[in-house]
Amino acid sequence: MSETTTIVCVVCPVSCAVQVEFEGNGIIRTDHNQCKLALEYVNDELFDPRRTLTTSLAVDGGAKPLVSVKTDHGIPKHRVMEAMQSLSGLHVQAPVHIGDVIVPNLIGTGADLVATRNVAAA
Amino acid sequence: MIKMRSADVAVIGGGPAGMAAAAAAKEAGAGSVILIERDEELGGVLNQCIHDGFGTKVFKEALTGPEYAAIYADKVRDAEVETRLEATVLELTEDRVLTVLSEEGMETIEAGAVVLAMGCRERPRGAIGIPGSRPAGVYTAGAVQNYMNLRNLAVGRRVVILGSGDIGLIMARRLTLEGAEVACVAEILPYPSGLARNVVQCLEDFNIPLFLNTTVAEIHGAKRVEGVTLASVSGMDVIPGTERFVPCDTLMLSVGLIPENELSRQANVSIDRVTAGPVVDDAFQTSNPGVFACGNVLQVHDIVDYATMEAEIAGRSAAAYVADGTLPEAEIQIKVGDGLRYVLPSHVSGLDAVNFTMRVTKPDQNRAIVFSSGGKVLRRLKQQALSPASMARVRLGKARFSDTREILVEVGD
Amino acid sequence: MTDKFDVAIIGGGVVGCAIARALSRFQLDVVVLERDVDVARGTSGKNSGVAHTGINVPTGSLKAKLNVHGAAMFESLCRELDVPYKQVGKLIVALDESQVPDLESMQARGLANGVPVLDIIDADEIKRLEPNITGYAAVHAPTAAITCPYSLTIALAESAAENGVEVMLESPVTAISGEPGDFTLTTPKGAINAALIINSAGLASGEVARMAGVERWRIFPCRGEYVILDKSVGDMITRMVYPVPPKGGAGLGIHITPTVDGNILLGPSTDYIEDPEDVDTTVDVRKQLLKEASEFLPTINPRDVITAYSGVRPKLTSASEGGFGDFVIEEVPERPGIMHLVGIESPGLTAAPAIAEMVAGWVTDKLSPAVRPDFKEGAHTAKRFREQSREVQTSLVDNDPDYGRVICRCELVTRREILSAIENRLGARSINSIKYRSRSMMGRCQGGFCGPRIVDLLIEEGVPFDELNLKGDGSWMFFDTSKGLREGHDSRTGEAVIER
Repeated sequence: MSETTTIVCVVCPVSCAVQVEFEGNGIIRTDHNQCKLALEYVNDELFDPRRTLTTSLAVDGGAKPLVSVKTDHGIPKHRVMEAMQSLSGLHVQAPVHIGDVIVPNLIGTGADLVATRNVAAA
Repeated sequence: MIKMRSADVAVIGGGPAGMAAAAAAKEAGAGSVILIERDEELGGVLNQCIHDGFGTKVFKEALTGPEYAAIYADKVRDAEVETRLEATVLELTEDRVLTVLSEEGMETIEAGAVVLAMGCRERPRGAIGIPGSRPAGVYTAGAVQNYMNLRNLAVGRRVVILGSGDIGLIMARRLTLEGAEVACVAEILPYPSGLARNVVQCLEDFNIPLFLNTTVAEIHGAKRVEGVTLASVSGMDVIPGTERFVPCDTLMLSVGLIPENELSRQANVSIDRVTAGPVVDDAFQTSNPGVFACGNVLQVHDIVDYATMEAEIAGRSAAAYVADGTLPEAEIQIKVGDGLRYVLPSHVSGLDAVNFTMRVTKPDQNRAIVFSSGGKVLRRLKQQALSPASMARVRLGKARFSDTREILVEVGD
Repeated sequence: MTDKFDVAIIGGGVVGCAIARALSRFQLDVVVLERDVDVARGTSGKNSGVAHTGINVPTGSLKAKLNVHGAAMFESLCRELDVPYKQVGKLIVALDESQVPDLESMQARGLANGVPVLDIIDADEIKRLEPNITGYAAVHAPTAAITCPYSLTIALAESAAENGVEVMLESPVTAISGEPGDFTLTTPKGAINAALIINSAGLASGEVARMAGVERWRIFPCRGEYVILDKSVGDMITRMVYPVPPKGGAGLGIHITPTVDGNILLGPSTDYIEDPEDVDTTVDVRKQLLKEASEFLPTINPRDVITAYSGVRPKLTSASEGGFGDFVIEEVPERPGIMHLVGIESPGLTAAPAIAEMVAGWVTDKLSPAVRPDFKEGAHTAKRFREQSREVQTSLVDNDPDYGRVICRCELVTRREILSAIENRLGARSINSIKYRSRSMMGRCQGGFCGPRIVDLLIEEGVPFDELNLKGDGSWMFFDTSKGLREGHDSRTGEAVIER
């Protein structure tokens, strides 16, 4: 039994509203996409949507109160809020360096949470 | 005592454009380059833009704002640019004398060339005239971003956003991630002002409604915002009977950016009415020879990569101006035709290829950006979609400028 | 702190603060009871900022007498307190020949009131003085001046406080009992005992009189909205430009006023309202202000509006009565010991120094106090950096590096000036209190850039982030730390954050 949905492709500014017919883990057909680049995007969005999570963490003993962080790969979209919840209350000790791994394998996604800026000790 | 000194190139503003311009000027051979920044670190607004998506054109990867800033701060350091932090340019004269104030005192700098890279500011509540009371809890999106991402301060728990500019969309996601509730985004235009990517990943991912053709008709609350009246609009006018109350403790504005050209005006630089930035040629030289402009002081960019690219040209041009005392005349005029708000640069030398940047007046599909001269088409670039939210960028090779005095750019078929 | 005073002044507007400062020259215990979070938060802070010459008030009225006398005192008062004062002059412009008789009668009335110089000029002379103004003829009043009304009020209050006056903020008076020599005023901060009372409560003066058993006056709040134009177009005019006042109207008509800081004000409108605290701004009036002002100044562009605000006049005449209501400044014989100042609207700012002298005379007649020998006249706040010459600026920063750190760049306000504002004598710590003392956050970006830096300084000076407010309790700036939103507690201290 196939299903149909619409996904806006964000690969380029054209922003095609792609109509997708799919069944199980496979796309049967797409419509309203102006180019082929949409296919890979739509496939990912449909079956394994991922997002890079960017946020900040409280710093103890730092020249700044916060350090910005990101996941080094996309994590499943539906686990983003769960990842945020897991970081609740987490404090990082200064100094922090850009690229430092703060949380390895964040909630088992395989992605590491890394610092995206330097924060010197106060 | 007022200290006096000189420099080959002075760059005003240490954000992405200023950093790239200063490093490029030094690398192009300028003897002394001074970069003046009022904040305590380089990077400008990038430091508070902790989301990713920066560098997709320059580095072919999606960096966060602080990471992108760090790359250019390193370039500035490696190029041995003299960086002055926590210093404010009070005055810039027509003949390129800067007056700089810092805790070390007052200083004048005679510069061989000046690069303007002061960036832009957000349009505040007063400028758009939202009626109603004046409680706490009305913030611009950039201010919320600064408080939240740099200062660990949350402005509210339930937020309505007016305007669908990119910073507003980014902050909708950011607030949601941190546990605040974003009730909705209201946009007065019939289409979003921000990029589609941000509409999808910042609003749709979190089921935040976007109401188009909608504005805030009134702000409620005596001490702190207690809610807003949303209303549908026809054009810019509220349609009576469509008003509805939305409770919230915060109204966040993302209603446009305005280039900061107060110093440019002091230096007698001509300002374009549409971009609100300086008029420049393909060397990014303004109407005042030896004064260059790049980044958001010139035009409000959609992505930082293009600001970096034009800043590097501006920096190299400034170095060349100092070395040669002049730059080639830019006598080929660029005319703005149908469907475009503006085209930059407005005049070119024709000695090099030029990347023109422009914004369209309204969303459109399956059109072309057409360059022509005397009725002869020089280049037609098909565009499947045109959006005022994105800057269009079109390259015109050096060969196209031969035997031309004037080029018309327009949206055509 | 004593809770027994010689004089209690109700209301920290320009009149109450001028009286407080006048009384601080004597050895008296004086308290100012202000209901808001700071002084100058009512009518005194939200008007055109004009020191009027006295053209517009009927000859022989109390308004005329106090206006002309106040205008004569105004400049030296501003100099003493380091408050901006600029004698820019004023044009009252007739758009056509039919309004010329109105100009002539205004000129005659002004001269009769004691205005030193008043000329009538023709269209050519208007163009010469103000090239952007269109008009048929005009009254030219060269002695008309502008000031900064909230700066003056704040400076008066802080000077009074410097000389021993107690200024109690957030202290509305809710009841008055007792008799001359032993009045009791009830406030949320406790009972205040005073020998004499001065009711300078502005919009609430009728209500305060009723608390004291005097059922005599009703205040009709009349709102005036203004828009402020950016400094970049501030040179469109150099003088104040007024229309011929509308017949029987409640105000002087929509005028165009340069401010001491280089902006231009358009306004005020005249709308009678029910709630005296309703300082909303509206779309319709904004359009009306721009339209009416454009008749005189066609170069006005709506894009140059940076913000809008409203003030409310405490009028003694209703919309239907219209016309003129004189100042009421009287002690009611059957309820002595209380001086009521009621209906002090325009030209109340100009008249304030003269009113203060008159009311201080009433106090000294009753209490015969000795003069305070160590009265300190001048201001003690930071220099306004932006107004100094480059040489003075240089020496300021050479002696104090805090003048070298620009916090608000739109208005060029330094860290020293912000710190001076934070450390003010009245203990006012709201964001608006810093704004009105320093001019930060008042420029093009309206605090978008400098707001966070000022927040840093307030926190460094010991104000907890969750107590930071725009204009008093309830107007909180922040609900939590960013990281605390999810956690429900302050991520710095681990303490639970106040429920809001």
